[in-house]
Amino acid sequence: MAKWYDDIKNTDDVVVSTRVRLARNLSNYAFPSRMDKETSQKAAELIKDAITSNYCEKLGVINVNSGCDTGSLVEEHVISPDFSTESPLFRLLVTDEKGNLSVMINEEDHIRIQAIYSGLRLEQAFEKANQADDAIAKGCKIAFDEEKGFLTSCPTNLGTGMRVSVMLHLPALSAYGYIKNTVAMLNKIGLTVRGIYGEGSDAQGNLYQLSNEVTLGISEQDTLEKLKGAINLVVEREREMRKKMLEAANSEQLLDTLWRSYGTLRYARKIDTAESAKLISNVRLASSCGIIPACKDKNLIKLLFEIMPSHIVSRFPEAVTASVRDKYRADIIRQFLE
Amino acid sequence: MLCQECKKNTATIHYKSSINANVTEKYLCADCAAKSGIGEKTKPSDMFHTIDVVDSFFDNSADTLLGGLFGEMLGNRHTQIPVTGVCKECGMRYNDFLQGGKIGCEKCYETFDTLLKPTLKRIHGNTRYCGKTPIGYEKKDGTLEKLQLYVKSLQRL
Repeated sequence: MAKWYDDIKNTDDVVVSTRVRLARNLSNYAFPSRMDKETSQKAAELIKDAITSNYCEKLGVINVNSGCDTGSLVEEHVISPDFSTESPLFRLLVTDEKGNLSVMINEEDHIRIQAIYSGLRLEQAFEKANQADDAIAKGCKIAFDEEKGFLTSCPTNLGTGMRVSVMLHLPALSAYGYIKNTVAMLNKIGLTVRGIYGEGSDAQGNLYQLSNEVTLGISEQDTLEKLKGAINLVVEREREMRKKMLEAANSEQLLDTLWRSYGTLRYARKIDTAESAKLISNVRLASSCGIIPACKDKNLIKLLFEIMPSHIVSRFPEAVTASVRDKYRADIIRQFLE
Repeated sequence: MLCQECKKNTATIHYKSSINANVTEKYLCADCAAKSGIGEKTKPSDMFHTIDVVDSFFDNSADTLLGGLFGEMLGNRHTQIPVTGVCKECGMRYNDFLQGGKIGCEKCYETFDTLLKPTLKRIHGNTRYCGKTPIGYEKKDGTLEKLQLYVKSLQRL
C-alpha cells in the first residue's frame, strides 16, 4: 500500500516532511469535551458526508471505535496520538489513499484536517488542507467569529486554527549541542520545537518538529512566510555544521562513528527502537554527505517508520514482547540495507 | 447588592482572595474592580453575574496544566472563577475551563469574553483575526439590526 512518505529522498537532507493542520468546529454543537456519544455520532456523520461528497478526490472512511490498528497511523503521523486513545465519543477518520490528507473527526475539535508531504512543500500542504476545509464548509456550518476567527476547543488554536509543522533532521546541530540555542531563537519569533511525536515526545533519530505557535492576528499566508524564513535559517545552520563536522581535525572519529552505525544496523540480530533510531539517523547523515554510497537511494525515514513497535506488530502479530520485536526489528533493518 | 467601594453601582463582581489562609472578600461594581486592579474592566452581562477571585495553586497534572496557565495569566497569582456564570448553551463554568483547559462550545467565547481576552492577547499578541473566512459565512454587516429598527419604526406608525 502506497504511503505519503514513500517519496522522501536523501536530498531532503534536513526538511523531511511538511504538515499543515486546521482545527475546526461545527456551529450549534457543543465542542467534543462537552459532547455525548449520540451527538458526537450525529456530528461525525454530518462532517463525513460533507467531506466525502464535496472533496475533489475519492476518500476512505475508517471507524476508529471499531478496534482497528491505529498505532501504525500514529507512527506514520497520519493521526495524532490523542486520536488513537480510547474515547467516549464516536470517532471517524477520513483519508485519501496515501495518507497525504487525513480528517480526524471528534478529536480535540470536531474537525482536524491534516495534509502531510515529504520534503519542504508548505504551499502544497496548505492548499490540500484548504481544499478539504472548503469541502467541509460547503456541507456544514462552521463555528466562526469575525473578530476571533475559527472557534476552537483550546484557545491556543483560536484564529486560523492552523498549525504548520516541518519535520527536521538535525544530527549536526544536536551533536554540537546547538539545539537548545536554536530552540531559544525560534521561540523568540513565536515558533516552537517539539520531538518527533509532538508535545512531550523525544527527538528520536534527531528528528524535530518546528511549528508556529501563534494563530490569531496573523493570516495563513503570513504564517507560511514566517515559517519559511525560519526553516531556511535552520537548514543553513545545520548544513554549515555538517560541513564543519566533516572538515574538523577529528573527522576520522566521526567517520568511524558513522560507519560503525552502518555496521551495527547491517549485522545486528536484536536491536531496540531508540538505538535503531539513533543509528539510522547517523547513517542518514552519512548518506546525505556522500559517505556510505550503498545507502544513497535508500529511504531511511521509511525504515524509521517501519521499525516502530506498532508497525512490527501489524506485520508480525506474534511480536507481543519487546524482546521478540527487537529480533524482528533487526531482521527488517538487515533486509532493508542488503 | 451595592458595590462596597463606591456604594452607588450594583456589585457585579465577587472578589475572594485567599493567600496563606488570609481570606479577603469584596463585592464590587465593574469600575471599582478595574480601579482596584482586579482582572480586566469587567462589564456586567446577563450571562455572567459574579466573578469569584481566589488564589490558586494548581497541581501540574496534564489536564489542569493549560487551565492553570490561563488562571495564572489572569492577574498575578489570582485566578478568576465565575461561580454563577454559566454558559447558557453548554453549561460550562469558567472553573471547568480552568480545570480542563478546553472551551465547551462557540457561545463560551461570548460568555467568558472578558476573562479570555487578556489571556488571548498574551498567547497570540494580537487579538484581531485576519485570516480566511469559511465558505458560506455571512458577514455581520448590521442588516438584521437595521431591518429590526425599520420594522419597529413601522409599528409605531
